[in-house]
Amino acid sequence: MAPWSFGRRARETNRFEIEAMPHLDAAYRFALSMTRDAAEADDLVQETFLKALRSFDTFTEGTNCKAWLFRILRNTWINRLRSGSREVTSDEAMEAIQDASLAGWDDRAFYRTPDESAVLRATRDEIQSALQSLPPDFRQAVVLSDVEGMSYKEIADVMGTPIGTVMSRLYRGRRLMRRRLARALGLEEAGGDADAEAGGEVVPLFGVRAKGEAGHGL
Amino acid sequence: MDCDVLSRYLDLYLDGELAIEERSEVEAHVRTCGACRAVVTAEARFRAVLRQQLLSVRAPGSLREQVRERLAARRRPVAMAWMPPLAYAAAVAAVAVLGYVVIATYPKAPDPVAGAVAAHVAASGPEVSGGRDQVESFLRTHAPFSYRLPLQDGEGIRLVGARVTRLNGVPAVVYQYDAGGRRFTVAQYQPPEGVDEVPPHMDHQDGYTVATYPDRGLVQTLVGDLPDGEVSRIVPAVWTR
Repeated sequence: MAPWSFGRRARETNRFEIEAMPHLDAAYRFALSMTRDAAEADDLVQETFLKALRSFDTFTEGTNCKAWLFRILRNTWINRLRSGSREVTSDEAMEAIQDASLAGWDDRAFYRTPDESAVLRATRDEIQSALQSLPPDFRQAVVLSDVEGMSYKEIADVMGTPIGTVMSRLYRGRRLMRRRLARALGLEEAGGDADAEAGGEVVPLFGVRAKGEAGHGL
Repeated sequence: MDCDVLSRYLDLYLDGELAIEERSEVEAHVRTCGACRAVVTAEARFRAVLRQQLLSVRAPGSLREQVRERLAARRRPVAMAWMPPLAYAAAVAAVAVLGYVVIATYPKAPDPVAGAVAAHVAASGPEVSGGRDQVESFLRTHAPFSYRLPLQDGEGIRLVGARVTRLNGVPAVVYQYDAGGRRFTVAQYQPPEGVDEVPPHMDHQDGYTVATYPDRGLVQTLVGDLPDGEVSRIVPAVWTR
């Protein structure tokens, strides 16, 4: 006789409500960081939660529900990109572009601008638009770490990449974002349009980790 | 540790990804170096601003509602999942008024329930025809478990026969009733192992109204071409007895 499961679905739905629903806001933020479009983020989250609900029996209780949801979310988004006509730029192509625009960046200089407190007064829209200008994988890594507070391990889990790649994306993503924000706020000093600059200080202060794959050890 | 080394670990330090020893080395350096302290402090402040600003982005209320509605639909019996929320609420209210609380949802009908529908449809000749006396005398020797007549005659309901069968492998007694010329059946069987209490549940399958509910240690599945209201009227009669 097949095992009976009276109310199994109701119990599972209750468990889903307790475990997954608290991550709805976070899922929406992450979706927004990928789609950059509110309606599409909305739709993506709905599809994700429906999928997650249907396959909740495959989620192991006690493990990281947020990372599990985010992984489904990201995979769903990638599937949409692939099935649509949207262009998916490869990471390699992106990295080549970004290498150029990080040239001349200096973390110390960023915090030594004439009015550095202006950075701290940046509005949500200003921060968001700086973030949205980043290549997708950099943007996602920054959102997962700086907004959602995920560990490198969790981010690696969501994005399906090694931790070293996560570190590299974070490093670049964060600094690119700051540069774009500084520009938008008119804070970057004269000659700061380093995208086109070949000379000047090419190696950023923290450039050692620009290659990013180094481990944790000192 | 010098400034260059610290600079390499700025992200790891602020991300909380450094081991304890490395962490204390960074902190020792920062205590003595004003320039590095300024960078660490400024970066930490900026991150706090970024986080605070972006965490204020919330899922729209409409999205939350839609997801919640999906959850609610999943808790409902399968056939009712397609009802609009108001119709569902009305159905629940109608049932609740009669003291019959719908609690459970099923991923699909449990085997005996599906079997009960098949048994109702197939309507192969009853093993015993007749009223209460004939049925009881038949069941005393044939019932696979300690049976109990599920419904009392009366209020237009009349027992007309019964047979002993298996519903998808589960031993059962299927009682046949007449309700004002319309026939309905009540399949009676033992609850599955490990299940103490089967929650009452109403559903629709193959055009029949199907109500499953516990009764005195047994489970009963009523199947009939009856309106929900009629089934609700019949079932509480069992309930309150």
